[in-house]
Amino acid sequence: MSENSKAKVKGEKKSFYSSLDFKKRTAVWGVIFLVPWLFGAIFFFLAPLIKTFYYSICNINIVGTGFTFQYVGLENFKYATGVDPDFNKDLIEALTNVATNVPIQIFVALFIAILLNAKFKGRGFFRVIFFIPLILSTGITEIDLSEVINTTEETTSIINIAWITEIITNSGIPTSILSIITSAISNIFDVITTSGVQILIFLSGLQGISPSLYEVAKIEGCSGFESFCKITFPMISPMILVCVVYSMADLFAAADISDTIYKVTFTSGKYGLGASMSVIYFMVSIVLIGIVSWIISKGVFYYDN
Amino acid sequence: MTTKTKGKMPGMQFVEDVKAGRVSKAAVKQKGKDILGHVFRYVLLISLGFVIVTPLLNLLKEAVTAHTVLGMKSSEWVPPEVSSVSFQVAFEVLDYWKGLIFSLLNTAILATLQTLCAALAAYSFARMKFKGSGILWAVVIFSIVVPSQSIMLAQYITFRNFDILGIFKLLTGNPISLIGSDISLYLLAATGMGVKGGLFIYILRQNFRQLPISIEEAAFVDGAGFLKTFFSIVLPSSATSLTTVAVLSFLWNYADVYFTSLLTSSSKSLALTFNRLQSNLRWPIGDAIKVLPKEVGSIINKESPLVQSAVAAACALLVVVPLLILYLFVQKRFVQGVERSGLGGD
Repeated sequence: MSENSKAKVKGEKKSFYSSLDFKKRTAVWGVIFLVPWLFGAIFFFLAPLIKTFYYSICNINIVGTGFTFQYVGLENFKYATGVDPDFNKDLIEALTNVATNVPIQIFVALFIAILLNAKFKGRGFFRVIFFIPLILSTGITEIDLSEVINTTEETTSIINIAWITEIITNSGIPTSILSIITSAISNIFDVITTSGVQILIFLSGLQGISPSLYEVAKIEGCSGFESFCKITFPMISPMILVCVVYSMADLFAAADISDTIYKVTFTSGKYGLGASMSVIYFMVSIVLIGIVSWIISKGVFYYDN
Repeated sequence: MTTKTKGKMPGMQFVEDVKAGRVSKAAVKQKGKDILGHVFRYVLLISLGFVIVTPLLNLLKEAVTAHTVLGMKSSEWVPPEVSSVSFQVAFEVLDYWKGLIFSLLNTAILATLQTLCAALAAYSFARMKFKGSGILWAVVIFSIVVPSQSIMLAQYITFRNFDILGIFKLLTGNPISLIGSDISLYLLAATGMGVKGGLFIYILRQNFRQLPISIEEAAFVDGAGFLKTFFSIVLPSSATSLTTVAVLSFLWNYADVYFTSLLTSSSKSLALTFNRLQSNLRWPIGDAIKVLPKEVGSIINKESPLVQSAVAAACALLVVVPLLILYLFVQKRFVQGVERSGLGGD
């Protein structure tokens, strides 16, 4: 950090700047271009992050316009994991939600992207339709759209796919796998509406694959499935990593647990407890995303190298 | 494999060829496979597309149904009687025109700030490497991955006692509170920490890395500075990606309720107003009845949950419609931008 700020100060001195070689000038401008982001990263991201850790071991009270902090050790953590009725339940729910929905999201997004990537009549029209979820993907609009839908009787009958569930139930698949499949089917609306960004990432990844690879494969006699396994999949694997990380982050952020934390913090005014919950929530999500992306990155293929 | 002729129906030539025995068995098989593939694709696309469009159509149906026939068994798509009452109430409840103008202006500012900051940072990460930029890039990824909800209290306190390195304390004696002021949102957007700020930096960095570097080098050789190169060469040649990012930023900022409710809870933003209405629509409807003309107000039963959900549907549509209109205008460039943005990962 200190080096960067020094470099910036040096950059402002005209005479000194002109004595720098091109590489160093690039570095100076690199720092200057980063200044706005750096400011935000330090004051609105890293500092709050560190402060959250500090708050989590404190008892916080509002006095007048300010806050008082009183060190209580790990009391808040003990309360969050041992006493609080909702926290553990919400955390486990968030974890199972991520574990089941991420693979489905990735699969559906890749599938739709491949469908949209091929050349066919009306492609433009379908692309317009399939990017509508991007409009509705963050914030309250999407969540409440699906809530409104569930309140009316007639509408549920369209999305309710009970008969498919029934067919699958009678097919003799073990119930543990079955419950995942049935929940996936009934979640298809949520899955499609939340995978807009992933479709976008996959589609632009598919566009980047050179058509000559497919031509060669065709001449050599590859079937469509083979060329998917040997060309599309390896070439798109970096995008799979990106999408998995994004999906996990997105699902963690959208989980009910963040509502619980918000309520504990702002409605009940237990600031320290809320902070300790945030710390647990944050650590769990980061560790999980770290492990998963490490595993996937082992299998990712990079064309350039 | 397949023969194409002009002036005939597509495929007719093929059928004739088959009849005349001019086509090999393998080619017929291939043709059959192609057709099957096409049918399969269209069936899938139409049914998935239907899943996406259904909620919007349902909302529309519910919102235009006349209150007298609400809850009656009817066809899936066509309401038995149409009226605009729900919309009239929704306009009042949302304070629509004021809220819309505020939201559009506010969001335009936020999107501009966010795109500009993301572009600057992304260019630095893509082309102007310096010692430590690798670590800072890790911070960007970190900021995408960390749920912003987990640092909300600390962010709230940061803005409540806003003071950077004690400057405001020196000037005014007290840190200033930015809670309730739009400046706090602008600050977050302009410093790349707003709604999904990290993702925008990521998208643009991938794009800048794919530009041919020789153009920039040529500009440097011809004596253009870094700023000039960036603004008159790099930005114009990545117009499509910038459009994608600007549009996404606009859409998401418009629909954002997390930051607005945390930092400017009294904001007039449409998404926030709608969010607040979700918990209780009865009283706002009651207030709206007083304002509306007598003959309209008298049919509305504010106690009925069916009426409330019809009004909620009308509100949801009114909130989403500006986004849909915007999307229709930019969709061509947007979809192209998606194609060319080249989010190649690494």
